[in-house]
Amino acid sequence: MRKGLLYTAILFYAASISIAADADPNFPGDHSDGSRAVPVHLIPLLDEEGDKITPDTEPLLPFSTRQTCGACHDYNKISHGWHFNAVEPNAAPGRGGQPWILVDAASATQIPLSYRNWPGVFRPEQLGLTPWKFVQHFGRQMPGGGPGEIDSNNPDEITRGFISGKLEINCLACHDADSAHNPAEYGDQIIRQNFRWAAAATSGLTSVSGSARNMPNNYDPFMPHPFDDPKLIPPSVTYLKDAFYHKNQVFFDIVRKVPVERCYFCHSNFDMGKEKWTADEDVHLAAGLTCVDCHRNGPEHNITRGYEGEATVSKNPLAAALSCESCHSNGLLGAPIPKHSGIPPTHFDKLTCTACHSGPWPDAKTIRTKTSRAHGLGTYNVNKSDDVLPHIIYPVFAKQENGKIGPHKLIWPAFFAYLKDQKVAPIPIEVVKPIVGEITGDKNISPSGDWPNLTSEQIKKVLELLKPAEGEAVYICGGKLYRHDKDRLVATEHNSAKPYLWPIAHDVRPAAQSLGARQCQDCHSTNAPFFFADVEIDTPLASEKDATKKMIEFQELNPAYTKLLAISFIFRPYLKVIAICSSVILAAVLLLYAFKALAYIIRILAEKD
Amino acid sequence: MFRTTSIIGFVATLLGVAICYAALPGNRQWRIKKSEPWNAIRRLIYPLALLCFLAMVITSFYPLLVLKESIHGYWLILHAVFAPVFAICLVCLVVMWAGNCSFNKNDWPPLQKICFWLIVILAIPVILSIVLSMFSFFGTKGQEFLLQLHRYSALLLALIVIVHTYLIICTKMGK
Repeated sequence: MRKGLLYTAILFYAASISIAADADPNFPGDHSDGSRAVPVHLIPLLDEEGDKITPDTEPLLPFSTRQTCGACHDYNKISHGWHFNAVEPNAAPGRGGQPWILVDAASATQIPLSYRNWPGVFRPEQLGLTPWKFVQHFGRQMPGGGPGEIDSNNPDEITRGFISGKLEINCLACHDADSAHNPAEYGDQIIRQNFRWAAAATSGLTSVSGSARNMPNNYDPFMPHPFDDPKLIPPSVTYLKDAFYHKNQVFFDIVRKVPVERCYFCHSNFDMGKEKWTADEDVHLAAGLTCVDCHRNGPEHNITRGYEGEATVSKNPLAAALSCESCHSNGLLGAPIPKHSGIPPTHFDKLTCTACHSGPWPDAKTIRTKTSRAHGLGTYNVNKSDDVLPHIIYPVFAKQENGKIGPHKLIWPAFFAYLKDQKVAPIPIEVVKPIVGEITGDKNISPSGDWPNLTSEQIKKVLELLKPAEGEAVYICGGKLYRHDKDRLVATEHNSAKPYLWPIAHDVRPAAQSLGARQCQDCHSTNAPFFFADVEIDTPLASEKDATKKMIEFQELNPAYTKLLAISFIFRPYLKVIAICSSVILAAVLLLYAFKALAYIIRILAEKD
Repeated sequence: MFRTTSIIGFVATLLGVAICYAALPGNRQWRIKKSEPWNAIRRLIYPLALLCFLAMVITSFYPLLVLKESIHGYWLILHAVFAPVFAICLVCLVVMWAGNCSFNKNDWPPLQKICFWLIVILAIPVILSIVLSMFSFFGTKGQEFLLQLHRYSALLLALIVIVHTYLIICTKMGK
């Protein structure tokens, strides 16, 4: 135990030295003097050209984080951090994570996207999404940077990009502790294509109005002028009167230790059928920790994700030290060291820590959940219906790349595609949507944002109408690939139709509420949800609506054996009784003859005397 | 480590038994006594115990020595099926044979009796180590210790049972 603590301390020391050694003196904010106090950020505001903003500046532009924060912090280095580097081809993708999910109920589409090379996700460009379009779809819950700062080759996007500006890294999204900080405003600015204004709009210092989206192509945001049309309001920013202090500096309530609420804006979950107030929060938060106590990073913002084996791909020197196992075997930050009484050690070779400790307690059937990034939780005018797409299903206990079983969230991809040489190429939504609309009609679209009720006939007709320019038109949904073959809709297996799963780690339940804490039968019974729960197969195809799959099918285990093992637990009490009685009798016989032997020795000795 | 120890143990024991068998003279004929029905039942228990013992050795050591993996899956279930039968048979044999296996001056060297009592002594940790791990008394370290205790005591038990069986065969054959 002491040895473990010593190693951890050495690791932290070495990490802090290496971080300090990397610090660039040109960026004093990245080079800590060691004080644990929070530096006061009373700083001048700079626009994207680096010019100082004062209340008298004309035109009044939004402050640029690249310039304002970048004066003391290495913006370029930060842009390679985990939250911003997805578009970099050389960035290690690490373990598969939550994708962005492109959803369009009208065209019965739900498809996982990512710029990271995770198996099972599609790249945005495969769906015709340029970085510009991608940001419009998902920028609401992006921290800026990445695709938001990529220069477009498309002339139209270049023009619109000049008006909208770049979506810079929004430092305030995480570090602004001001209670007036409004992350929902960010999403609103994205919808209005006010990328340049988005970060400023979230701060409590400004008010942003107007919409770059509505501006004509020849609009110059640096020489703004009013329009005759009262509906055409150019994007503009107003700073609060008392925002500027002495020397036109403004105060930002910037903290190094990011408040939980900031993380929650993009990383919340909401389980269907539950009231938010009934859900317990993660045990670590309840114990007084915050997200960044475990998910740490230095000035380069290469935050630890915290999964087992991360150290092999991450450049963060603490990646190995900040996993569940590492903290809980060393008692870091007061982490209780688990006894795991009565749990055979083989479980630790076959299960992740999260399998027993994270996510909701599994039930006979999986539930649906919403996430901030998939459903825009916390943004303005969000669809609160339980049925709204995308349909994320969990907890699904599935085998991971490292061979261990852990809990996952899951989506079943659904999209029209071209099949050529057994490769699937999704068809962009704008191509499919009018055709599906023509076949299904507007009445088929659910106001709740749920799937339309598609029939096999309708899918057949859509497949007929899709021109086989780049291969055979197919539809993927519910884990199957549907093709139009001789006037029949034929379902086949295909890799691209497989569900996309990503591991979950939160919310962590306390030890007493972990699987196996009550009894072995939490998992080893003939109907234990861990192995035998029904996993919903989500599909817009009306005839397949109630289909399910057994959990064990995701675990690459033998169902017959698993059932037999579960049955054996029925007889386990008898086995215990037999074993204990046998031991007692054997011990009694042994003792009896030991006493006899002793009596014999005593007698012999007595005879000798 | 355990795999190597097991291989060495089994090879050495079987080799020793084979050498002894070849070296010692005897008529090599099984002597069958006429027996009462009660004796017949008594005699059935020993082969049954041996059968269970064989099944348990195969289900535990075959995956380890041949497949190079620890016992799991169907092997484990089979192992657990034979275990209680073996425990019951062993208890019966011990109760029946303990009287005859007490040491006296006349039978020297008492190899067979030593083996018998070693079996009784080793059977207790073999059984208890696994049954205690089924209760939530021990944490991970304790569980690992119990598992190791079960493995090594079971290995020793297996080797002694082989020797004991050989000695019984020798006695029966008048060697």
